[in-house]
Amino acid sequence: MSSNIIIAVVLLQLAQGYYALAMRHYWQQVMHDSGGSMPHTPRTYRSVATLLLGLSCCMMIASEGPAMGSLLWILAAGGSIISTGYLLTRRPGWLRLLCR
Amino acid sequence: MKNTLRSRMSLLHTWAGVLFSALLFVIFWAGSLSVFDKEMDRWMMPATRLSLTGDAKVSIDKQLVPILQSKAPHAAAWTIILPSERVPYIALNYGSEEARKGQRIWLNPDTLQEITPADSKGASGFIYPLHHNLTLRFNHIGTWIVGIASTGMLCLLISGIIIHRKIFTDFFTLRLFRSFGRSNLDIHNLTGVALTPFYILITLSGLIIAFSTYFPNAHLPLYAITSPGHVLKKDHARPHGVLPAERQFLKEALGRERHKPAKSSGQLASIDQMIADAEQAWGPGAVYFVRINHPNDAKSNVMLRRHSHATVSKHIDYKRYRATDGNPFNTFEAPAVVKAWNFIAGMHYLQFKHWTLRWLYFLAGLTGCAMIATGLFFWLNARRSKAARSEQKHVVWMDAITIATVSGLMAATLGFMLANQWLPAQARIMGIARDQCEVYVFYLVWMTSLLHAISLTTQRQDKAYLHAWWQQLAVISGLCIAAVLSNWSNTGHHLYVTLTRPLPAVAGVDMVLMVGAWMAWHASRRLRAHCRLHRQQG
Repeated sequence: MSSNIIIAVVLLQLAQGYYALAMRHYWQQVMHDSGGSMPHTPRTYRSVATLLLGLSCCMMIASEGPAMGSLLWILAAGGSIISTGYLLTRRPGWLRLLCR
Repeated sequence: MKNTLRSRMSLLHTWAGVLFSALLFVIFWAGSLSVFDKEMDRWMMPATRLSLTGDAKVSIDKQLVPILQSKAPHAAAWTIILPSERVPYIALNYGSEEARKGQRIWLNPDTLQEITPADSKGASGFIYPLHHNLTLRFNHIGTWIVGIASTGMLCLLISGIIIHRKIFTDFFTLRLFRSFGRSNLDIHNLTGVALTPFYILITLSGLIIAFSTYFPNAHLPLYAITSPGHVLKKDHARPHGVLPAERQFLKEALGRERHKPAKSSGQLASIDQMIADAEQAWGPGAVYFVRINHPNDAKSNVMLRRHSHATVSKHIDYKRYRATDGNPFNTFEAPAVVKAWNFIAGMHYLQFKHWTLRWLYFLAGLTGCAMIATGLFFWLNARRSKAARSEQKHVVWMDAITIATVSGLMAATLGFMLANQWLPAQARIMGIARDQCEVYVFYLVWMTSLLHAISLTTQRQDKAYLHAWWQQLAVISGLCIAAVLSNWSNTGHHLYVTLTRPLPAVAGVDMVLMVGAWMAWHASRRLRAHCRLHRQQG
């Protein structure tokens, strides 16, 4: 696996994390004991997430070509959605790293 | 219930789910395993566990042609399939005009020693056909059933999206520590939504691949119209093989054509030179398939095909050379529509060399299995208590079918792999060949699982189905461990050997089996604990 794919997968994971944080109920789930309001608007989180999502797609396509890159991106995006759901239920605190 | 689009889609989702889920689980399970069918073949056929060094290139002229000359000098065609990373041996096929692949031998590419056939269907001979035709070949019944189930899957996916009330609000929701019903539905929704594009892609491409079965004559009228002289007979009768219009289709779309022999002897020019010429256009090492039509004839020709390792598309392009002088005389490149079809087929067949993508396909397939299973669990969970009160039997039967479909199919697959390890070489049991015995073991284990599930779920005891689940999961765990140990004891290839030699295919299968054993054991233990707790409380 090339380093570009690994970076793109990390970017995808970050993007899904920001998408989750942009939703109030997930934000509260992540911040349940420390409380506090969102330091940025949901729109900002969504914008960052979309940017990261696009960047990961471009990286995969640049690294693997348009056909394999997009297939890889679709599958990795699905995986990152599931892993974000799992993080939110098992280790929601980990997503606090993205709030800084 | 209000007569809204959502309520109608809900009804469709429920009924299509109940009707097709068991079948879809089989198709998805077999499809997921087929992603690694060649690797499973290496596990099931120990003689083919070769490490492809790639140091010495095989000379077809000096090494392979003499073998074919000695074995079948009068064959209608010789076919040579060169070794690759996933299939590390040379396959030689030769046969008559009717059966061009009649005889088959495999050679070690390093020593050119003949490999003794494993007498096993392997995963590519059984699991893969189970995926696309359920091994029901008569009149394409299996392909039709799979096609109907695939259409049902598309209906389920679309209706599932429509009936999901909070598809965006609950996008990442996975409440694993709530009640079984809640967490099960969350898993169903999350696995369904996250990989919807993959499920649609794989289901639709599966339907498109088999178009010629579902619409066998759809293309013929077009070729009858566009090709003067190639008139389509009204009754579609095929007294002498293929129709002229079909022949035209096969030639134009797929490049299939047969050249008649001169029936006078001829010399064979250097095939290595032809390969070198073809690889100038296709790239080094691109040729994997060589067919010599009418060898030793004055009108003999050599067809070369290239592999599809570097592209998603499944190549069907070829170059044809005159065998007597080695000059190229025909190059086939698929037309645009066929290229599009090849791309769709390539996404489904997964012939390209990309290990990350292969593993992701495998995991996505298993996630699809989880989605189907959790859908069945949701249906059962929603009706179980009501059915128990009113003494309705349909939920009990559905429980048994679900258990047999999910854990029974897994146990049957492991039974198939264990039979491969335990049956003696060249064995015949009651006149049944060894490779067929493996298949019978598969169905026997599956039937036993169904009977076991029926015997427990029909008991009047509360939560009897849970007993069937934990018992079958414990058996699966034991079978996984037994498969790994059997492979070790029969071949001496334990994990350290397979990782260091290296035999990545065997190591991968063993590791997946060990992970499967741990997961099944963990699930079985928890279910058993739940049963005990329930008994103590009750």
